[in-house]
Amino acid sequence: MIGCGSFFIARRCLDSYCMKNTESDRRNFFRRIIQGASALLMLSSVGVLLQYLKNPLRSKIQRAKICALSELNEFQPSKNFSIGGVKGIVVLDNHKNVHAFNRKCSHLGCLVVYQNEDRQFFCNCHKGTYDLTGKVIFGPPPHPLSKLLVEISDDTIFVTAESEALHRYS
Amino acid sequence: MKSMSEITKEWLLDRVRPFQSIVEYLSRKHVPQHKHSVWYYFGGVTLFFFIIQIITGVLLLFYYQPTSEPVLEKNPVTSSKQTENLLFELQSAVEADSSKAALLRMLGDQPDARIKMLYPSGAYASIEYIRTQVRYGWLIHSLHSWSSNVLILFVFIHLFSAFLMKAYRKPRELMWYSGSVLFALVLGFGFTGYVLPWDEVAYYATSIGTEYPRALPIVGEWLVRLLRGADQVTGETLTRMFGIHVVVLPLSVLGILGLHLVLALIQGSSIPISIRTGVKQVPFFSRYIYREFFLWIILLIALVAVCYFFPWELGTPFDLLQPSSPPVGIHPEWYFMFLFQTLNILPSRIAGIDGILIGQILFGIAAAFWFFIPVLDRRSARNVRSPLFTIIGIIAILYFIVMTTWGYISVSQH
Repeated sequence: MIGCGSFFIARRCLDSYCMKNTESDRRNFFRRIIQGASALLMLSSVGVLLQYLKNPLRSKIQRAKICALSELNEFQPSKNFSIGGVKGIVVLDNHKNVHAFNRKCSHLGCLVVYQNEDRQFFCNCHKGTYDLTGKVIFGPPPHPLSKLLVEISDDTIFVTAESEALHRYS
Repeated sequence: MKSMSEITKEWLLDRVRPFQSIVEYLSRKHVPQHKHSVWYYFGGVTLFFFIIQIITGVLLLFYYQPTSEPVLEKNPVTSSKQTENLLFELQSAVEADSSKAALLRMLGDQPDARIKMLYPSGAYASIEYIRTQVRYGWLIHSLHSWSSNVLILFVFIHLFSAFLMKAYRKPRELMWYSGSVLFALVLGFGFTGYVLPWDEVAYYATSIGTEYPRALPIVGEWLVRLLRGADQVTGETLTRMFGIHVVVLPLSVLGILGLHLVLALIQGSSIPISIRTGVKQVPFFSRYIYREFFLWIILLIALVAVCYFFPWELGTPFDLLQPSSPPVGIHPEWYFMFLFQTLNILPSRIAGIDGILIGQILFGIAAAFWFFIPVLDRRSARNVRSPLFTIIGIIAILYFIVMTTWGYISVSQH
């Protein structure tokens, strides 16, 4: 039905396009059809390609034990960790509160380091500097460090982090 | 007012003079038209499917992981503190050193498993990921698998039609030789690509396929080891076949295919000896090219339709550490069936010699005969009809069809 219909329409188009109905007109029409079809195919292929290349990795929320609370003190107030690809740090502030941050600098994504003598986070790449609450105090970073959820139970520190789309299989 | 293409052409020719003569040559090129000229299109169609294989193959490479190592996952955290500590250690161990994966897989068999195995191999898992998670991944995977079969089908048609039209005769011997090598390389693609999903059928088909050369004297053992990278088919084989499939064969094909195509452009299509009069000439640019494009578009649409309605399936995953028995009625792909069936029907010993060895020697002689046809067929080299070689060609086709059919019938009876 559809086939017959499209054939009929194509035939009408062909007839109206080639009023003179010469061979070269027919050939031109055929050529146009092929060019049009290739263009359409190319366009849809590019669409498929772009969708295909977008890797559909899944993010995953993970909770992990970092260390015992008693391990942190004023001489060694921080500990680095990695949960599902998220590089984080826990740090003890002056009021003995524990904070956890993602170490990714908000400027260009380098990993910040904790400097105990100045009680600050420092990024070696472009000198971005954050205080112990994650606020920017110097340099180019546009946003504070992102915080991670901290829980303390029975002297143990747990951190929950959402991995940044790293998993193929869940 | 000049059109865009004319401006581009002038710009290019002003800068690269030699193009002028090439363009002039190609614009004068004609393709003969006669009652057998439909077969000329199959070379181009084969090329088209090869291009599809390159594109989809590169796309699959973005996600495929050629490893037989299992994919593991830790079980959800339990309340026990001890379990949590152990989990943490195991997790670190997995992250630190993947070779411990095998040990952890054993743990996965325990009822209170802390680590469970998601897939027995990364290779299978990655194809499953492409098929089920990646957008249009099923399409790319199906296109690559279906198109490989269609490509080989068209290679067979192109080969046999060239044979029967005696297109190998002087001055086109080089096209025949390069085409024959391409034929072998395409079969090599089929064989090496077959193992990559690392499912049961792929594993055992490769085990059987790489076992045949062992019958050869002196080099047999060495050849088997060379193909497998080990005594058995293992993860080493997978790595090796992957390397051959994505680097060695493509590089070899590109050079020889380039030669084959340049020769085709320079020498043009061969007109069969039987056709003496009534040959029309059709300009290659752009009348012939447009017809060929038209065919490509139709075939591409048909291929996508096949992939949509019959997406390519994966078999049962193969677990190297807990191998299953070969599935009942295991057989190679259709294009190897005639070889498989021939070796199957040979008795185990013929006049005191290993039957498989005899089979391989016979196939070796047949392949050499086929390759050196341009030298052997003296009559057609002088442009005289040679019915003997037509009969040989028809026998070869019949042999292929009969043996393939017989192979499928005997496999289905098991």
